[in-house]
Amino acid sequence: MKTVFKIGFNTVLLTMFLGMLVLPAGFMGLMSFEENSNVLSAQDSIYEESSIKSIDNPEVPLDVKEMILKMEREYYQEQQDKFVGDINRTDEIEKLNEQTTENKEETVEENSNVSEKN
Amino acid sequence: MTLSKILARLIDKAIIPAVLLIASRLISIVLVSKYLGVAFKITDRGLIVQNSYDYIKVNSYSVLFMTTMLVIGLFYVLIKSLFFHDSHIKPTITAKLFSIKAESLIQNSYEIYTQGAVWVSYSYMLLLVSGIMAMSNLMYKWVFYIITGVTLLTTLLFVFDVEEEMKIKKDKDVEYDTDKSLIELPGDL
Repeated sequence: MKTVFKIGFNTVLLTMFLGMLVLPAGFMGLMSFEENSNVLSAQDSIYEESSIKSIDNPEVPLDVKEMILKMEREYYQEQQDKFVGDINRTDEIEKLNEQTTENKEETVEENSNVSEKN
Repeated sequence: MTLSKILARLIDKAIIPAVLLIASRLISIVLVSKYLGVAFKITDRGLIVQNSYDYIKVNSYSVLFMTTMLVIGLFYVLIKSLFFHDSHIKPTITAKLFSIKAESLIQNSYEIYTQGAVWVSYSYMLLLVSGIMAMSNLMYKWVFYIITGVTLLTTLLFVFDVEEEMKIKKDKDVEYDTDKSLIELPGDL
């Protein structure tokens, strides 16, 4: 009986001691961040790669580009925001074809070559 | 010395470091947030910052502040262990401590090693938690490397002191030689 009481008492003391040790670690988890935050930081990309692709990305198909531009125009026309310069642009401007895209890519390459030479 | 007495002593010695570390965590979060201009709100889920970048920044400097507190505690015990240990303290240091009425710094192995065990345990606990945080990209990795360095260095210094203590004990034991072959017993003449 005495031995059982001794073991029980020592177990309680050991648990208390371990609890004391873990307590500061528990307080280290006191802080967290909003996972669905609307606030973006320019340095977020350092820690995790963004899955959002730019519209200039060659992997984005032409019809998707056209759709995005169309939706964007409709959105800004609804908003009637003054800061958007060409909200009254027509569908014709947004019609993309292979040739214009290739021309654009060539122009970008030329520009980069010129800047490298400089 | 029974096990329950040792455990009670360890609990007693763990109170001050625990309070110090918790206080340093809370104070450092507030101070670092204010200094870096990071907004946070207090909810039932704890302190919430707006994005992961702010979280990593505040969390890293806060853990660094905790590490500084830990280093202060560890070095206080280490200095007592290496220089003010009653088993190998120099007479000149003893005289100086008595003259400035700081003789309480001279402690025996039991006092020093219980304190040391508690502080080193906290050091390993911080190392473990910071390792998990660094691997999960919740903290800068260099903070984890600093904690690793501090933990290894203090462990090494404690091991050196324990080795010296064992050596002293061994040297003292030689005085009690049990070899009775050269002792003349009554009636041998």
